[in-house]
Parts: sequence; C-alpha cells; structure tokens
Amino acid sequence: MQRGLLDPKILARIGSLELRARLAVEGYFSGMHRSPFPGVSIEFADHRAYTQGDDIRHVDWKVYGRTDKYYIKRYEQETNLNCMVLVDDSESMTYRSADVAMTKRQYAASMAAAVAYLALRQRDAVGLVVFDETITRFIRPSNHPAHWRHIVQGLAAHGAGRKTGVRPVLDDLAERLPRRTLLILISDLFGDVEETLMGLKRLRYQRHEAVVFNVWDPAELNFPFKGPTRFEGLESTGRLLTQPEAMRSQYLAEVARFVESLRRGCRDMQIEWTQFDTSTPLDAAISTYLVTRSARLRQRSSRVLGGR
Amino acid sequence: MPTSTFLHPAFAAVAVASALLPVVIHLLHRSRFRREPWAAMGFLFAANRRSARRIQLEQWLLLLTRIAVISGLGLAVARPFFPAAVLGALGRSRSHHVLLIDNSASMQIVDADGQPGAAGAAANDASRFGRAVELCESLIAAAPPGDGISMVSLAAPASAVIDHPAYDRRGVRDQLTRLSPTWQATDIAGGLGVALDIVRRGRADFPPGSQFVYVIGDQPASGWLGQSGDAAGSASAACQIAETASVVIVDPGHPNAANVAVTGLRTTSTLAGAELPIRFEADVSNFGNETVRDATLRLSLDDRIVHRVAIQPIAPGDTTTASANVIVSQAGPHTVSATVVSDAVDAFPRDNVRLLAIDVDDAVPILLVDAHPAPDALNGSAGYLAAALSPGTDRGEHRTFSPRRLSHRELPAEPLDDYAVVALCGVPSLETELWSRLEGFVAAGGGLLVFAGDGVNAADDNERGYRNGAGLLPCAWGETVGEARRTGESSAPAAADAIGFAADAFTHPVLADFTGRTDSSLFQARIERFNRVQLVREGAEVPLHYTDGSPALVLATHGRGSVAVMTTSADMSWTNLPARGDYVSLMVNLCVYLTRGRGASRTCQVGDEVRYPIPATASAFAPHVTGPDRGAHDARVLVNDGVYTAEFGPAEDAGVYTLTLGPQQTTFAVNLDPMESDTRPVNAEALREALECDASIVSADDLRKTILQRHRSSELGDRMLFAVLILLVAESWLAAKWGASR
Repeated sequence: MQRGLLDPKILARIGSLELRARLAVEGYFSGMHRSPFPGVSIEFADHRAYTQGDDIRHVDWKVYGRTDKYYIKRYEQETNLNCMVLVDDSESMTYRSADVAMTKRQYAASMAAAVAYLALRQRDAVGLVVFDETITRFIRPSNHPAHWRHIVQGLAAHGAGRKTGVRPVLDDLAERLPRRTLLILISDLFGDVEETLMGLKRLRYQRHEAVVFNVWDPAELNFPFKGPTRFEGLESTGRLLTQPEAMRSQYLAEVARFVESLRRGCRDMQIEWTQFDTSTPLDAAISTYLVTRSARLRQRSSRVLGGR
Repeated sequence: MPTSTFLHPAFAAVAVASALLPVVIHLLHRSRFRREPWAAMGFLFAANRRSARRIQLEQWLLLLTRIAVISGLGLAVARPFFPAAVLGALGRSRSHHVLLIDNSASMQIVDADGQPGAAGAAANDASRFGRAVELCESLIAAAPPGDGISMVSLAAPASAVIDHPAYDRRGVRDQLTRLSPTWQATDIAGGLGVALDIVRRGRADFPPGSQFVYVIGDQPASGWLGQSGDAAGSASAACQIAETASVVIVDPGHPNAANVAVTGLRTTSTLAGAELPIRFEADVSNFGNETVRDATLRLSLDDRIVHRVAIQPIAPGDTTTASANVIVSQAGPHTVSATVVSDAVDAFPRDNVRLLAIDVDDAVPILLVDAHPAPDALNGSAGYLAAALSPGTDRGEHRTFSPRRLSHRELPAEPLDDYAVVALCGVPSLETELWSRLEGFVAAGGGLLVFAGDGVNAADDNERGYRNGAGLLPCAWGETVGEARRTGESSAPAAADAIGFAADAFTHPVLADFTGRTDSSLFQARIERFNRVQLVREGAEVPLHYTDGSPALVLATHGRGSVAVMTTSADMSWTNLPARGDYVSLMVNLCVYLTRGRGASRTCQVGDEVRYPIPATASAFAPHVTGPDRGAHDARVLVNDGVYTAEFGPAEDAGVYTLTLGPQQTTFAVNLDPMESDTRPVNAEALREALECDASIVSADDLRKTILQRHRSSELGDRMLFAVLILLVAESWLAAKWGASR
C-alpha cells in the first residue's frame, strides 16, 4: 500500500467507504518501518456466560467439562477499548470548497470508518453515533469483525441534514453509555462553543475519554474568496452579500477566537482536540487514535497489574 | 455671453454624465455577485458586524475617487477656464477677438518665399490666403478659452461670417474652413465698418480694453490709403473702432510681388458702328519693383486675335496706355479682350486680361416721341430733331443714327429695348406704368432725352417722373417763362428780350464741339420760352444754361443709363435753335452721350449682380447661364412694372458669361477689380501717419506670442489634468489597499 492513499484527493476517487477506510489504514501502516503499536498480547482475562451469537470458538471447554456450563473466554485484548465514534451529519458538514475533493461529511465518514477499521483490527469494540441536532443513528460498540460493516453502513446513510446540536447529543449519549468509553467526536462543531464544552464536560465527568476531531474545510480556515459574493448559510443561517477581501482579516480573527476557545476548553478537560481540514491526509486522525488508545491501555494495564 | 466656462461645453456635459459611470459599474458589480453556500456563517456575521462600517467608508472613498477621476478627466478634455467673475477678481477679463480675414483675389498670390499654410481648407496652401488661414488657426487655438471670437470676410462687399462673440472653437474653425479665397476686391473699409458694429454690440459683454480687431491680409496700400494715397475710408473706420477696441493690423511681412496688369479697357470712339474703325484704349500698369520691358498688348474680338501692340517699357508704379483701331464687320454684341503678354515674372497672372462688351450697330436706333406728329418732315415737335439726327439721308450717305418718329399715343405699345435712346419731345403726361418702363430702360443702359414744350404737363411729370428726386427725371419742372413763338416765324428775328445759351466750361463731352467757338450759332440762338427747373437732383450736371442763369440742359445718370432734360422745346415753338446749324452738333453729341451706357450692362466686375433687360417675348424661355469655367449658374427672369430683366450672379470669377434665352445668346464681360491688381503692401509708417489714431501694426509671430501668453494664464485644463493624475495615483493606492476589484 502507498501512503499516498491517505490523501483525501485519492481516497475521494474510491467510491466505497469500506474500501476507502481499509486502504487508508493499510496505507498508514505500510509506510512504517516498525510499528510503534505492535498490538497487545492475547492474554486471558476472565470468563463470562455464553450468550447467543457468541463465537463458539471462544467457549472454554475445560470450564464446560468442570461445570457443565458454557463460558466464553475473555481476553485482555477484547476489552482493550470501548470506542464510540460520533459523526456530525448536520447540514454544515455538507460544505465543500472548490479546491478540495470531499465534503466535511465525507471526510468525517472516511475518518470514522478508518478509525473503526483500525479499532476492530486492534480488537477494540467500536460503536457509532451519527447525529445532527439529535442522534439519528446509534450502533453499539462491538469488536466483532463483521461489525465494521454495520458501522460502514451506518456512516454511508445520510440524515436529513439539520442544524448542529452537539450539547444535546452528548447529553443523550451520556445517558446511554454505562461503561467508560473512548468517544471520538468528528464534527465542525459550528455552534455555541460553551454548549459544546459543557456536553464534553459532562462526559468527562462520567469518566469517559474523549477525542475531538474538529473538521474544517480549507476555505473556512483561509477565506480565499474575492469579488462580490453572497454567502448563503447552510442550516438556514441567513445570507450575506459582501466583499470577502474587505472582511477576511476579521473573519479569520473570529475563526481563531473560536478555535482557541475550543482548544483551551478541551485542554482544560484533558480532551485531545485536533484540527483537520479536508485536504489533510487521514494519517493524522489514525495517529491520534492510536496515541490515545495506547495511553488509555497503559493506564488500564497499570491499574490491572496494580490490582493483582 | 457664454453659457458655460468650458471651451467644449458638450464634453463637460458628457463628463458630468460619465461621473455616474463608477456608480453604475458599482451597482452592476454588486448585482453580479457569485453565490457561495457557506457553513461558517456565524463567523461571517460576526466579522461583518465588526467591519461593515469600515468597509462602507472605504467603498465610498474609493467610489468618490473614481468619480473624481472620470469626471475630472472629462472636464479637463472640455477645457475649462476661469469664469469671468474669477478673472475679474484676479484682475483679468475675457476678451473678444474680431478676425478680419482678407479673402480677396490678391490673396491667391503665392509669394516667392511662400510656405504652405498649416491647416483647414488651406492645408498645403502656400498662397497668401493659406498663410492668413494658418495665422487665424493659430490665433483661435491660442485665444484663451472663454474669449469670444467673431469673423469678418473682407472680400467685397465685406460681410460678417460670425457676427457675435463665438465661444465654440470647433464652430469657429468650421467657419474658417468654409471661408474660401475669392476673385473679388478687398473691402477693408467695409470690413472695418462691419467690425465696428460687432465691437459696439460687444461693449455690453466686454469691458473697455478687452476687444481686439485683427486685420489679417496682404494689407494693400490701395486698400488702406486708396488710389489717391489718402486714408479716408479705411482709416476713419479703423479710428472709429479704436475708440472702442484695439485695432491690430497684422503685417504680412511679404515683399511686393511682381505684377503687371491690364487695369482699364475702353472704346474712345463716339459710336461703335459696323465697318467703321473703333478705337480701343487699354491701360497697362506695372505694380512690381522692376521695369517691365518687351511687353505686348494683344487685342481679341470674340476670342479671335485682331491686333498686337508693342508696349513701351513700364517703370515700377507706372501705367501706360496702348490703343488700336479695330474694325468690326458685323453689327451686334461683341466681346473684346486686351491681354498683356510679357516674359517678366508675374505673381498674379489673372489680371493680365481685361474684357469689354460692346454693341456694334449699323445705325443707332433712336425713338422720337412726337406730341403732335405731322406728315411734313419739319413739323411736329420731333421734326427738327429727326432731321438733325439723320442728315444727308436723302443723299444715301451712311447714317449714324436711325431715328423713328412716333406719336406719344403709340408709345405704350412700342418695345423700348429696340432703341438706344428715347426722346420725349414735349409730350403730354405719361402713365405711371410707362414711366416705370422708361426707368427700367434707362437703368439697363438706355438714354432718355426729354424736351419741354407746350404739351408737357409739368405737374404730372413731376409727380410720376421726378417723384421728389426718387424718379427718373433729374429735375422737376418749374414755371414756364416767356411767350411762345408764333407759327411760321422760324427764321424771324428773335424778340429783343429773348435770352440765349451760355456755358461756363466746355469740358463736358456734349459741348466738346463748341470749345473756343464763342461765335457758334448755339450761342446766337434765342430762347423765347423755357421752363425753369426746380430741385435739381444731387449728382445732376448742368453743362448748358441760359443767360439769365437758369438751367438749359440737365444731365444725370440713372443705373447704367443717362437722362438729359432740355428745358426748351425740340422744335421752333419756343426757340429758334433748331434752325441753327449747331443744333445738329448739340443733338448728335447729346445722343452719343446718352448711348454711352450701351453695352455697359454687359461689362461688369466680379461680385456684381448682373441684370440685363430682355424683350418680353424672351421671357417665355428659361434662362441658362454658363460661366468662364463652362459651369452652369443660376439665372432667373424678373418682371417689374412691365420691364423684363434676366438676372444672375453675383459673378464669382472673371471671364465671359453667356446668357442663353431660347435662340438668343448674350455674352457678358466680367473683370477683376483693378484695385486688386495693385498688390503693393502699405508702408507701415505711412499707415501710422494716415491713421491718426492708436492702432498697432505687428508681425504675425509677435501676435501669436501675445495671445499665447494670455491663453496660459486663463486655462484650467492643464491644472485639472495634473489633479486627475494625482487622483489616479490615489485610486490605484486605495484600490491596492482595499481591494482592486471593489
């Protein structure tokens, strides 16, 4: 695989989101001389009762011989990480400027699929939340290899494209997630920064980990427009006829102010916040995920070892 | 008054209108925006809230700068100038320039040092006229905007080309371009008179000292000082102008041109008869600086050379007269030309030829109108006159005159154009219409001889013929003095109280035969009855009077013809003169004198309106006139009080014009004014002395410099262009700073 496949321009030519994610991840790893993430040894952790649908290959027949009950072996890897990918499906995510290949939504989907693929490959459980003002699709985390396809299908389906409402979605999610979960929020986060941070703060309070992939279109960051332009707001936010050159500096100042607020808020809550623009190769997203996962597992390992 | 302070007000209007252009472009630009779906509207609205006021201000500033650039550029092209009020505050005022341009015949001379003119119709024209036009172009261009310009043509008769202060330079130039050189004479006095009217009207708009009259031409001495060297007409007109405006006479600066010309051509024979020698005299003048030698005068009759006469050397400024006899074999109208041929350099060859139209008769037809005709030759009021004009008829001798007697009752039906002279011999009163016909007849060159007599109705003649000096008769009949002679006493001795004839001088051609003959039977004759005359019209002559001092013979011209009034009878009823031998001489001389106008109506000068009497029968034909260039000219037939005339002109060129009326053709000889041949420029010092008023005589170059200096001090165009340049730099800087596409 070529690392060039991480480039959104190339990935955008690949119609299948599934294939796109696979290629991105493979592409990521093919470029490494030695993986800094060699994988976790498959180590027995405990048993749990067999439930329908479990793979019979994981039935501990020895225990069955002793107790005549079906128990499923649980390994350390299986419970490495419970990951939930949150993808913003609001109308603002459909924006794509002329010089880039993907909308923010497509980029977010690719990013989510790649992370999910990587997680499943690492035996992490992955779930998916697609949202706009509310959660429009919810797929529970699972580490079953076939689960990835469910996630891809969930990402491929588009919602009604309403306004962004991060705070209510995070509040809702906080109710639904009983276990500690690594939340990967992929969104432009256009909305009230304070509200967004409040939602994240509640999740952190419930001891969830969170990673924010703040997705931007390059035009939103550079504001390269010239000549009289009428900006017609997505999400029915009105329209404005103006001379972009004249207000570019003011606009960029507003963006910088917004980004700084988000960055500082996330840092204060020990949330990994990363800014992406849709022309950025996906390896940054994958790296971020792996770094976060590794940190998380190190914390758990020390906690488990410490408990023995 | 100018309605604006722009030399080209139309451009100024366009400039004002174009000031809207940036606004329109701005609005169009705003309406032609591109649409951009946009997600981050929150940031955009926030940025807009912070920068909207600033952007608006920048846009207004940029828009105003662009409006100022475009309108400023347009206004600069319109060439603004200080308005009168501002100039007044600055201690200056607008000026009025009246250009008098000589476009007479002599201006077509190309001087030896001639350089082509610069512009307009005179482009590449090295003639004096081309130079004058070039100078006028320079003056118009150099005249400060806001100055009014008027223009006068000096070709006779001088006329105003632009009779008011014109401010539109293009219009003035158009008029200048349309002005063309002519073959007419210079009318400097007339032109100055026209200019005087213009500057007098201009006093309302231009303060004293701000009106200038420029005389631009070859400044001939003959035009300024006249033939006699006095500066009467032109100088007095110039001095009248000098009371209101500054008179600037532009010194042409060219040397005197070599020119020899035929300045006169006439016949000295009393009568032009067929098969009789007719003597012609031609005046040949040398206006150049070198003696003309070996010149020849060539006489032609109807384009056929009939005589060559060697001319004695002519010194500069001299005139010599050459003469020759020509026999014309065929009676009728003819054209004689005299041409001087010389190897000497001649700058103006057009005046080397002169034409003369003559009428050659077998015998001069004279109509004698009798008050009481009788079959006996000597009876009737016209009997003696008829006998006097046709002596020796019964002996078969050649007749000079061909008199025809007619009753006054037959006169209204008689065509007058068939005669050279009409004699009214004591006829009773004539109808008004007949007087009108007689006026037309005389005006066209005919002669009228009026005798007193018993039948004359003085009151009617005075009312219809004299008309308080406006009519045909040169005097009004007064009281009748003395007793009438008794019938049959033709040879009886006169009464002791009878008076005789007397003359103060014998210079008049009518009395030329009596010079030194105090014993002439003319002065032996006795007059027993005559009419006193009153109110002799100005210009009339009285060559013969009675011994009591009363006028006996009154002569006057009318149009091209002449009128003679004898205050006694043509027969023996009032005087015994008809029985005297010198009666014949006196009557022949009178009739010759009265016929001198014959042919005169067919010899005229360039610029004349040609009027020629025609028979009523010819009026049925449409007149056609061809000129010397064989081109057709407009002609018309007019009838006034029963008198028909064919008219055309004014004649624009010298040469032979031919009038065709049906089968009849008549030729007309048109000559240059001999004044135009005298192209010697006026001496500046002599002119200064003659003018007796403050007039400048300056060179063309000095004039240009003076006006250019005034021009620079009043025009704003250059300053405005500089301001536009600064604005353009400002606009570029602002556009670069705030966005070039705004």
